[in-house]
Amino acid sequence: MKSSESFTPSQTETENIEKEIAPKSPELEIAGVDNEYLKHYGSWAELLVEQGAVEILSDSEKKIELTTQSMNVSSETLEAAKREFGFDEQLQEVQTEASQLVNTTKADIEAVTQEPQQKTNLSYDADKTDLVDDQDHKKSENIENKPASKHKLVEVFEKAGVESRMIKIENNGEFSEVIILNKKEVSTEKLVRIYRGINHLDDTVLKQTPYAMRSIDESGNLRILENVRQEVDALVNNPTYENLLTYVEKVRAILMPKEVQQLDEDLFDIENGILDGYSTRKVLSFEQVKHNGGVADSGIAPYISASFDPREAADYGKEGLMVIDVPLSEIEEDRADASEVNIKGALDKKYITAILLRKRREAEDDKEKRNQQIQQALQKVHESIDVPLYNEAVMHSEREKKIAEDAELDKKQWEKDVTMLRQKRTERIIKEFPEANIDFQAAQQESVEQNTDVYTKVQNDIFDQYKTRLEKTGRNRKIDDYEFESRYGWKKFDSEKINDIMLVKLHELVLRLEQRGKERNK
Amino acid sequence: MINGNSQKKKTIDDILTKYNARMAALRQKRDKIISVFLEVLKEKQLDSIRQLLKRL
Repeated sequence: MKSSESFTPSQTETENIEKEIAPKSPELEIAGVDNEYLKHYGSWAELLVEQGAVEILSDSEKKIELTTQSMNVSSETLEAAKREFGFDEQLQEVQTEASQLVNTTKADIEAVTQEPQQKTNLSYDADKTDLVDDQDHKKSENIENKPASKHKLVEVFEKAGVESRMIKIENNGEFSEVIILNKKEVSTEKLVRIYRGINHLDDTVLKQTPYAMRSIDESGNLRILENVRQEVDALVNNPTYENLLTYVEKVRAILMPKEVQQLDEDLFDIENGILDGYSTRKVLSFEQVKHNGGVADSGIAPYISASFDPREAADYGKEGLMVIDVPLSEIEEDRADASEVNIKGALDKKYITAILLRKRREAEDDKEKRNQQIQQALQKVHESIDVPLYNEAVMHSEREKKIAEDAELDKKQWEKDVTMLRQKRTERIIKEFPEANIDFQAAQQESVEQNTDVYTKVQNDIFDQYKTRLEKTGRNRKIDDYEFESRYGWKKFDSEKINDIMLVKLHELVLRLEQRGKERNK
Repeated sequence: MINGNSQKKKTIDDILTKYNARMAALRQKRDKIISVFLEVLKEKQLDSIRQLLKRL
């Protein structure tokens, strides 16, 4: 659950789940985009972009602080480890790249908004830039004016066969209404209580789906990909590289072309993570972090973000806060002391316990008071429905235990995953560079003798072949004199850091130089 | 005329999508650095506990 927003552009209330920026909304299709709105949209986009660079460091400080506290590390040990590792320098490098990215993105946005603006011919008052927010407000009013027993959501739940009841809390400001969903069966296992913000009071409340089960077309319309539910479930319950590939192959056929391209890039990043020593579980959770909200999104991440902290979750739900009670087996997390948590796959509606509705007209500026109201509403939930929740201390130790068990499983699984992946990558580069004339079986045999893996061995062999050819082009320059453009800027052809993209670039360079050599000799 | 602004809004959305993808890659890079660093830190902490036990 990332990012926050100060100005929200137009949103559609209907088919979109968690869509914070609506690339195209029905309102705008009819009315068009006026100059003032575009100006605000551009400013908001720039703010969002700036926020990303600020968060990248503050988040890491928070993460380090939390972990060092739980490990009881002295500040001397922490500082010494940081110096030895070159921690600050490495993070500074990321920060510099983030700042460059922010600057270029802001310049790109400014270039768009500063082009001569179109004259508006809309019939409504062009000064009213908050047209859609106003409509949202009216929608909220309508909802709030309905009798408590027939709230719009209660009707939605009824249609879906879910019994619910509304509870009013006197003098509790923004959080003075709670909908309790009656459980059809009482859980026999202990549960953990987590929270998720909601932005649409419609049937999407009951259809919380992970990025991996979404597709967004060019007009910004969301499709829920029910036919990959089985593959997503298999992946989250058994996060192996094989299950990941099964999902990727199935979803590839039903995604939009742009999404397929993104899917391949994401898979490539995931594979690199596995090659770097991370488990498939871990790299999938890295994928979840990629989505910082702000833009309607689909992706490879098979999780739904939630939080153990209701106040944090409330920051992401302008219409309400969902109270979810799930078994530990239904969530994925890195640390037992973290508030952020991932729900595995699509959320089964039986785990939704309550919805705290927000009356935005009564929104509280004082965060402390707002938090008290949330606590008050949650107390009401606690009194209204009996759910077998872990107590705090047991929950913490159970979370720790599960993380440790998963880590143990992951160690064994990683060996299998990386072997399968290396084989796949090796076969691919052998095919991609046929002139290198490499035999897989022979390379595998030699890799064992050289105490390396087959993928590294084949990469090195291809690199060496092109290096030799490059240095024969007769320009009296060594391979170190050349650079290539990677995703992270210009890099040297470093034999210690060979990757497939580097090999492609090296191949291109060699062909170019050989061609020039031929032309010179004509 | 309004179509022009709609197109500009779409262009901004495209810029944001690209930005998000690149920022996500940076976040992934950052998380890897933190993850490896925490392993180093854990080792260092264990080491100092071992030293302390030796002295005792």
